Amino acid sequence: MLIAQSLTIGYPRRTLAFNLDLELRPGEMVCLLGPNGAGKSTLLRTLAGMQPPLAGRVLLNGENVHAMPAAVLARHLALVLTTRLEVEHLSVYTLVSLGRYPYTGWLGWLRQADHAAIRRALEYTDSLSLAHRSFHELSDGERQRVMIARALAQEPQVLLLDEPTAFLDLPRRIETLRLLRRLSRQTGCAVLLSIHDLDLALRLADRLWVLSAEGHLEVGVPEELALNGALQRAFRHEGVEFDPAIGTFKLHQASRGPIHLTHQGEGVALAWTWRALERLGYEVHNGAQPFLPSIQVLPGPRWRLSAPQIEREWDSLAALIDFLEAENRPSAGAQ
Amino acid sequence: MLVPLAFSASLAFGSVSIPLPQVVHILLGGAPTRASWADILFQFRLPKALTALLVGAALSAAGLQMQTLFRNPLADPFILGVSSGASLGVALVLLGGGVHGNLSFIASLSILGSFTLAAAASLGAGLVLVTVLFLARRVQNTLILLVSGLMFGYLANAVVSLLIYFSRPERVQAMSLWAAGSFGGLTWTHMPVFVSMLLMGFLLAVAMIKPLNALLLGEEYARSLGLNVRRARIWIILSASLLAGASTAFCGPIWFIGVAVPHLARFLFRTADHRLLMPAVVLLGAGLALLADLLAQMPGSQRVLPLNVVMSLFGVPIVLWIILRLRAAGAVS
Repeated sequence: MLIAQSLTIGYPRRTLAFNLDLELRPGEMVCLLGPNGAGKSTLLRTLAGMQPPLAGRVLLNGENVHAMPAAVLARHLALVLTTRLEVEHLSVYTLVSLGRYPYTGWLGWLRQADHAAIRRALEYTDSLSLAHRSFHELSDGERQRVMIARALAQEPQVLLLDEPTAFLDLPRRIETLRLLRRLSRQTGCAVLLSIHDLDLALRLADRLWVLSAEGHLEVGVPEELALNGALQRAFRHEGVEFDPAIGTFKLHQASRGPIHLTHQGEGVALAWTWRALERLGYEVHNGAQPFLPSIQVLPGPRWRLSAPQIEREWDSLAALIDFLEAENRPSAGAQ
Repeated sequence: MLVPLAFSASLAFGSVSIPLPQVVHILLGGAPTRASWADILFQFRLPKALTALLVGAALSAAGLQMQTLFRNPLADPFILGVSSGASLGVALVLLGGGVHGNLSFIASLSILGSFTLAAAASLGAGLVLVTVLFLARRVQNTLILLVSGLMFGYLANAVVSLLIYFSRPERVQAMSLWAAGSFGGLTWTHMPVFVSMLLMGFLLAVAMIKPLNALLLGEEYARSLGLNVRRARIWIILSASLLAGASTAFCGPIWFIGVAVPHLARFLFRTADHRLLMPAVVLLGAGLALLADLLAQMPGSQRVLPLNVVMSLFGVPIVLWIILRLRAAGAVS
């Protein structure tokens, strides 16, 4: 549907990515990932025909997007941008009706078909109940839904969204992504969105486009990109490391040396103890090792620390953490 | 409803009061009770009321266009320097007219001078307009346009100040008379030029209603909806400048209406949709201008107050009151 052929994007004095060959297919949701400044927005803008490519071309149903009249393109491709609208006295219905712009006459009066399209767009996004509210009174989540409805009112084949989850809290982010995924399935529209939330993208996207800071783009199914190391490579220079084992970024850098962890009883207590120790900066290993500090999670749960010259037990994780913190304070001089 | 009411009131009142039934009677071609009334009505009151109506509508429409185009609630019809250009043109005629002028200059002003003034003002406004349009074709960013408009304004004002500094007091007074604004300067001879300029402006304004709605979303969204933003911008500027330029050329710079009326309309009609706002603004502006003119006449007295003084003195409190009251009402509901 939307195809990029040997596309080079960027600005006259700064090339962001070379020679991209891409394809967006009907009914799929693709998440565009990448560090800040890698050119995610530029890629979206170039695909949307808003910015000329430095080389190569973008084809929509076989026609060059950058040579198409804007009014024709607007019937096939819709955008949701990051710019926040600050308009007073604009009802949601009127705002969504602006999506019919490419279809209406010179004064913009709406016909029956237009009203039907607006209604459908509002229904798809669960915002029919907002129709008569004023846009500036809405919450961030509602606003985003309405902006998506506005784009849908264009009845596009391709929907491009620049960080649609940026201003939202976690439940709203999940809701927005689910909504987009449902849309792509139900309407057959191809959805491409840029996003910073790797975790959500991995779980909800049909495919990922991962743009690295060097301008390389890797395309694939999320799990595949995690397995073949593409995600690790893309974020390597950002000072964070993607951990394929857990499917997220490693947050803590080990600073305190190894500690061993064993357990009897519930596994959940073990998992959270593991996280607590990682947070404190330990390099956590599974299984006991003689002569090295180790923590045993006992039924209860209780925690037993065994180290050379120390043997203690606690019935709360907080107490264990307090002890370890005290031991590691430089003034204690123990280690 | 306000408009016809204010219109007939402004016909009836003035330094000589004419009873309203007589006004209707005379307008319908009947013989007046007093011969002078017909003259007053046709030669003075009617063109004046018509001018007030047109200028009020024109400035309000232009103000609405500029506020939407620049996404700035403080934008007014003169924001791109049209009035500064006009006042520079007028200043050059009034103040720079050479050393041989004398006191009779002012006397001659009211008879044949005002056409010269209008021409000079149009020329000045037109010059600024052409420059701004030239810029609009080249620059991508609307903000640059706004800043350069301001710069033209400063430049023109500096030259005007310079001219004032080196001028004789009576000429300076003529200048300040022009700057005070008046709907009374137009006679039937001016009307065809004036009306046709405004008509062009209004026609363009109607054609630009749909693009203005798209621009509510910002330029990027407007482009994604298929609008050629650069071209729309040029037509909008042309429309606003024709409306504001013609008004300024014939009536002097009239402040307040262009900023206030769009806000008033948005608050009264609770919409940002230009298909509703544009006609609303035109009617409100026309009504308000007629009222202001009426107040400036100070019914029952022989004196006439400067129009801009009346606008601000009466208009500001009224508009503030309405906006505050509606804000409060909106908060409750």
